Amino acid sequence: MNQEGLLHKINQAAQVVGKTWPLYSFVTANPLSGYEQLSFLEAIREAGELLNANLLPEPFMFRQAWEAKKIDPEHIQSKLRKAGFYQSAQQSLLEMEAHAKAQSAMEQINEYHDLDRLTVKWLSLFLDEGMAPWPMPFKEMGFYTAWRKLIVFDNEIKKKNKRKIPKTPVEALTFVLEGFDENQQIEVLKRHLSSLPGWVGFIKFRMENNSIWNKEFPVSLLDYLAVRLWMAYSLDAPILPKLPPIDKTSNLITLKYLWLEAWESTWQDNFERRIKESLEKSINCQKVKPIAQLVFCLDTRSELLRRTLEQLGNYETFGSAGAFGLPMDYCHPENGLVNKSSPAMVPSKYMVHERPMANNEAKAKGYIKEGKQIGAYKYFLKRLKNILPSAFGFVEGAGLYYGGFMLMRLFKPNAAERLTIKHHKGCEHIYEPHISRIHKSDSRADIPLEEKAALVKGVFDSCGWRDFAPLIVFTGHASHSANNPFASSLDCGACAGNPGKRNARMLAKLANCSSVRQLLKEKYGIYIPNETIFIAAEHITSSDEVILFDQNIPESHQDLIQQLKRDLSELKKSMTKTRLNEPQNAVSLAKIKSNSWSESRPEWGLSGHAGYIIGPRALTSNGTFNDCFMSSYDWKIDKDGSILKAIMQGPLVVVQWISNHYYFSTVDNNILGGGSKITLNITGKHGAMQGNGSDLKMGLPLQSVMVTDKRFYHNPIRISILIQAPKHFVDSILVEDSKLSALINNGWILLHIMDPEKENKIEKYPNTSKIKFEEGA
Amino acid sequence: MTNKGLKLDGGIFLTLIVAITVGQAMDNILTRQELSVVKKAIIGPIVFFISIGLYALMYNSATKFMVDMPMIDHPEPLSVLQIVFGVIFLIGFFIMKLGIYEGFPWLYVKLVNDSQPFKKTVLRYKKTLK
Repeated sequence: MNQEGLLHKINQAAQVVGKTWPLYSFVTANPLSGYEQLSFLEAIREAGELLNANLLPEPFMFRQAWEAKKIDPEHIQSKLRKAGFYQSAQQSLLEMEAHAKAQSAMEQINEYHDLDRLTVKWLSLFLDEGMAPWPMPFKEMGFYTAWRKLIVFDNEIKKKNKRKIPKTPVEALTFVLEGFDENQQIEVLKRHLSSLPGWVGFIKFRMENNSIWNKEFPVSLLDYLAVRLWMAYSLDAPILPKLPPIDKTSNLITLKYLWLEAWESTWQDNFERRIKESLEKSINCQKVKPIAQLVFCLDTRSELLRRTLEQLGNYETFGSAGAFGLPMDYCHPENGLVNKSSPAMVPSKYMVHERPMANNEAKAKGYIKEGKQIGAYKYFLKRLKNILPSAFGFVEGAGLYYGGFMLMRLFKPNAAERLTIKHHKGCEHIYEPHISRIHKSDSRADIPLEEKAALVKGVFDSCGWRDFAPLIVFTGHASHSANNPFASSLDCGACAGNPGKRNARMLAKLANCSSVRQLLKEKYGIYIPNETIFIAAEHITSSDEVILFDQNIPESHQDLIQQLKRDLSELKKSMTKTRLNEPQNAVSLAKIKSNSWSESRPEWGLSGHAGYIIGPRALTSNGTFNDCFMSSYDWKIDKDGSILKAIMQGPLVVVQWISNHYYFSTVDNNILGGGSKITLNITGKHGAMQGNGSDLKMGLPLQSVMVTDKRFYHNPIRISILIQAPKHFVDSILVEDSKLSALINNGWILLHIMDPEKENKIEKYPNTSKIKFEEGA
Repeated sequence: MTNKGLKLDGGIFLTLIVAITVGQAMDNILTRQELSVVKKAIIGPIVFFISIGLYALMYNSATKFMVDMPMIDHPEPLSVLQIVFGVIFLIGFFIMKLGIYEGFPWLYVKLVNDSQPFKKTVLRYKKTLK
């Protein structure tokens, strides 16, 4: 077998596994992204079998939804009838529950346990990203070679096989796969890739993102398969694993799918009613010129903020993807580390560096120096803790202090947070961002003025925005939590799990630039009044605080800023009360939840979302839509549908990733989620495993989506999307974009069009997929 | 400061550990690039004296706390076994400190295997789907 042919087969087989993003840049992506060309139902059948996972909601979830009246009896009854089931909804629910009860008693021994355990052992040694004080030798030679050099000393592998391990992974795989025909070979690869989908997903991440760790210590799926299959051969394990027995006569999947559809239809009914009511009220509202306009991320957590702020004063708010249309990476001034700060699937075009503001060079030096001192202090403690002999003296000696601090973190988390040694102020008051092209030889060179103007215009266009208030605030968001390995999952998804303030600051700077404004006026007819000032801000979602970066605000706008600050302070009190359902001390409670190291749920994040609205604020301003993502869009200024196309190909795809990630983390938290946080252990600084060894966790932990083990918080339903635009806009976009079209036609997202040219009638977008109910019907 | 004296008994191990800990602390300060020579010259002795002072403080506190306990002032005589253990300990320290281990892959694998957690993991069981 030649290398090319083998790699082709591996790539084909690897579609069964999604990417596992590292904890430090956790992206909520669809774990079944490789199946998007199949219908949702076909995908869950196929992936469920391969991953040994339940990919539809459990019956107890349907029971909870049924009792909470989230499933309309008429919907489920009619769907059951149409599919040929003649029992009542109640009976079918009882049937599913009985099935689940029988299934829970049928756990079986994994005959590949030793192979899985050994594979995890070698992967966790090799893929370590700086956690191990004693790193694996030969790592720079790549996974296969390093393993090959070390496995000869491993007494868990039979001696007779150690001497003849082939030199290259291609030779090893060719040897093991000999005797299997082409189809069987692909099956072998698929099953071994899907036996540890989390670890394999992380290898995919390192390969496809060409991470700095992979440049230094390369690993590939070919290496993984060669190592695993050679160990399988050495352990005398069957090379072609059998799939778990599936009862082909069972109609459980069909029943569950019908219940899922009924649940979704019920939510959509309620959603449509809310939209119509809100729109009706908006028509009667008089529009007054706002004193300030604020742009927030389309995130569901912005909805309550926008609604509360609009009630507090004369403010206009917009929703935009949190990266604010900047496909950029960000270089931190303190350590030079580069983070992606735009949607994970969009290649970055720009690099944003920080430069000290005028007359702030000394402060910048101080900031860097402080950072180095903090780094030295942490390094010092780590070394003393980890070096064998000093551990005795240091840990025992410092135990009293650490014990006291532990108690303080437990009982007085806010005070402990203040005492923690770190930068207590960000770099924003000293530095200003500077944008350059990412791959230019002179990486700090300025980008052309035209490009700057186009970036600013892009945001104005996507929000449908033409009238400018004196103060405009671009607000990124981030979350603060202590002792939370999944902290970055609470940050901005559109910024690849990083805080959105970097993009907001960059955009505000570009929009304040007089030559950019001039060009916008001359070339695009966009007139920004001289009195209009753009600033950036950050919404801390765990404490409902909005921090303004208003260092350079002119005297003329001071009153306005002070007014906004007062309103934001009121907003924090009101929001925490509502969000935490706590009439008193809500602000303090939110802070405690955010700083407490024993808090497994600092906030609910995006849990609870079910919809995405692409349209003007009038659709939502008079209702409650905290279960929806919201992108501002005005079809009237979108002459050719190009703005909608950008939203559908960008934010909509990100929302689909998020939504399916939450869905699958809820329906099978053990396989596609993170499991309980209580028993998670961090490995290699990049991931988490359950207990003393498991697959690498690729999804959200139990506490992020469930109230208890048997009570969901996040509704496990597919996302419903509503676009207010002429239907022919959407038609022409989908004709050109087969990937997007597949997502809709295959039922991964449920699209609805509100056509303003047809009196805002809402229609489900045609779903051309032919769902086959193979049994039961 | 501890009135332990320089007698060769079991207490030598405590002295050894304290000496290595303080030595490590000093080493980590003196090898940091971001500290200037002047700062190193000032911080180094401060850390040294504070560390020794803290050790003496804790030693004397523990002695006072245990004053009523029997055999408190009867240290164990130094045995051959203890000396061998101490030497192995020191060898282990220098193998790690000087990076000698990197030349012995068998040692790495041996220690990895010996430090592996319980062999039964959550991967041992899988559910049966229907």
